[in-house]
Amino acid sequence: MKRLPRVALLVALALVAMLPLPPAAAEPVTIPFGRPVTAVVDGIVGPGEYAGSFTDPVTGIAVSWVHDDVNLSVGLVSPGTGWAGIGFGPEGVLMDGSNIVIGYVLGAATVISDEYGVGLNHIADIGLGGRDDILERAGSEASGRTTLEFRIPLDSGDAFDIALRTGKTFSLLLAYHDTADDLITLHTSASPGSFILERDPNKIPTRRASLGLEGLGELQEAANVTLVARLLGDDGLPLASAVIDFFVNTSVGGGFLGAAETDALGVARLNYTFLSPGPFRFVARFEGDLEYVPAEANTTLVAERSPGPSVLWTSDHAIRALIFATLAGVASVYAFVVVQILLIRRIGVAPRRTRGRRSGPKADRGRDK
Amino acid sequence: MAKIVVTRLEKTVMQPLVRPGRWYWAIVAVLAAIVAWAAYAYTVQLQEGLVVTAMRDRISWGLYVSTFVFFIGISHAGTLVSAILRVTNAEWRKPITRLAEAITVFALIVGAAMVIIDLGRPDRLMHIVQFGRIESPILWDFISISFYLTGSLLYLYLPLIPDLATLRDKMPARARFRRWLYTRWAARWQGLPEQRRRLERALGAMAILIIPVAVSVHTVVSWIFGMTLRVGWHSTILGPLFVVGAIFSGIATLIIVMAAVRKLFHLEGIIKAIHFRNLGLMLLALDIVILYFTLSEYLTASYPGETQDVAWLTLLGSGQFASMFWWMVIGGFILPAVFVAVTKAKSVPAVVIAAILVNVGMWIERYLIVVPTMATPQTPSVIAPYWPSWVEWSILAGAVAGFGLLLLAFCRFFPVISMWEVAEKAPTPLPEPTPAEVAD
Repeated sequence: MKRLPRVALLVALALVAMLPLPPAAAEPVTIPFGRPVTAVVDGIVGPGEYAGSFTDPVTGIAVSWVHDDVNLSVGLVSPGTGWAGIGFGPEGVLMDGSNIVIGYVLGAATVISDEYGVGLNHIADIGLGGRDDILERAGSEASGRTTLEFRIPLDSGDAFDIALRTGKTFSLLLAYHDTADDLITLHTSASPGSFILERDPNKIPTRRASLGLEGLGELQEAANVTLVARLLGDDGLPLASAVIDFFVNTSVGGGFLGAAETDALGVARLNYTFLSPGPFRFVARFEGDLEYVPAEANTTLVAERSPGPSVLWTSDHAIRALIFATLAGVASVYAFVVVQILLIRRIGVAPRRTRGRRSGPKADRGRDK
Repeated sequence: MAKIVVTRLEKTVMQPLVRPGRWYWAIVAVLAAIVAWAAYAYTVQLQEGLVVTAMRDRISWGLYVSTFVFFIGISHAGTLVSAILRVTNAEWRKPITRLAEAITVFALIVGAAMVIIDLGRPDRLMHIVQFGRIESPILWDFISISFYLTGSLLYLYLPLIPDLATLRDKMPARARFRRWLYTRWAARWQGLPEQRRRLERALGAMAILIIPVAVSVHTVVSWIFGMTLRVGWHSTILGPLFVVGAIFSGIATLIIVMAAVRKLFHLEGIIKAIHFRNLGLMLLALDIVILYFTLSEYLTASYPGETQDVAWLTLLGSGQFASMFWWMVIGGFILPAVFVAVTKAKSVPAVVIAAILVNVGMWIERYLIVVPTMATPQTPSVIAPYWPSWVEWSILAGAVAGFGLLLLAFCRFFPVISMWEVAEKAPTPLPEPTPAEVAD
């Protein structure tokens, strides 16, 4: 019994030592640039065939890949005989809006489908009104492992394929099933991550574009404003089909609002709704391309407070009365206490020696002697 | 000239005010260094913005808000120990009420500072008043904390008045500034019957009022989360859970502070084992209640099997927050209960260790309320990553050190024991030393 405090101390120290350590940050993997492309889509991933490869530690899927600024070539080797798949999506997203390539090998037949992430499901692009944009596909199965190889365009132009751009971070999803040769059975294992497409090291953009940004619409809380970005080349001509990212500045940095492509006039638009009154600083960013370096523009819009009364002011007066009566009740008790303190002071007699003399520490000096 | 009579009790209690000792200054130096480091970290944040923290668009409330909730929680020490025990006329409370009341005020100050730090732009603080809306729980929180801080300051000051008069009359002559200060603050207290009557009336009113004010504060803090339609927050039990958790961690903090002050200023004769025992048993009772509430919260969330609830519970039980969660349950709730129950709270070290574990566990509990919910995606997406940056950890350390520093500064200027209340309990005068002895 007497030892318990010591035991307790030891247990406490052990528990403190067991406090969690920071998790290791997951860095995006890089898809290397390689031209000419040496990868052959034949269902077999040979040594040195792809410029880059890694094995995902969660699923055990070995991924080999390379891009040439036009197409992306991928080889997947899963540790099962069922389906395997890979998803390329917007940063921070698991499946929704991702370009998913999924397939399996059943006997001599290989099925590889171009699909699109909808929520936590995936549907074939064709089923959604899009196209199957896989340029080449092949697969094989050996020693309990499935190999899928395919080639897709970086930007197919299909509404159900995300346009992959160099230098930008995208989300990555890997998944497979041990045995199920279909496209619907829930995965055995899945792993989210992210990746970046390496820029062509031989192409260094030098031209400077100019980017302007303005807000059109009612500058008022709950109202919509259209952010209009205009991108012009160094020759003064509009740059069409360039992607402009829009951000709003928050106290934790730029919050991504969305992206829009410039039209023939070099204009990209994005709608935004003011959620509160006050100043909002918007940023438009052009990431650059093979010719142009990145450009950025910003503008600050001040949204006025909406004129309508707040919900509570329009609701029952009894609620308002209750709130203010409660606050007034508390404040009146405080006031009562302060009055009591003042009365205590009034009842007491001021120390004689301080009367008629200046106060302060120096005034007390004589009294202490 | 009338002879100044200093009782032994007064001599013991006034000792830290006259000569606090080397250990006192050593601890002050260490705490001041930590606060200085935190101040540097804060200047980095002011200069660079909140981007130096790990908070981003997905997880916008992190360490700062968790620490805010934690400190508002421990501010309930004064309410329970002082107000409730005063209302129920529990005599044993008298030597520890002052410490409890001081903890309340300083915890509120540090807690409120965490919110300002979390704002990132402190110059926008007044926007709460300018643009604040009465429908917003943030504004309710601002109002309730302001009222609670005002009430706690009054409640700390009231029972100080007779002791300030004692200090005014009996502090050594060389402490001129403080004697002048005590003269100004003692409200001309002379212990007249009418003055005592007024004081009792004011104390009675405050003791009753401060209890609902304190309960409302932590309920409103819980509503900041509970009024939001997010998994893990939108729950009716959050208010009671916050209040019970607040009193739980408040008592634990009081036990730790009592043990430190007792050791540092040699107050073993006044803060006795019985105080630790009674508070330890309270801790045990509240531990059981909080375990029950926690079980109820998680069982209710898990049983229907809603997708998002399951995702959130998986994060806690076996996901990236699992080690913290199980540390909280075992280290913060179960083991302290075992320590206190096995010793029947008779062992002061066991109670103090239990209190330390409770406070670590309760801080983790606050963190687990804030962060995993924000990490759980509301739309199909990946789990948002968050691990506080060095700036956030530094400011957390500074907050804890600042709290300790404020308490130590209080001990240097004011008696940590309510002398007049303790003396009322033991009217028999003790052998009286001379003023020269006090000065020594």
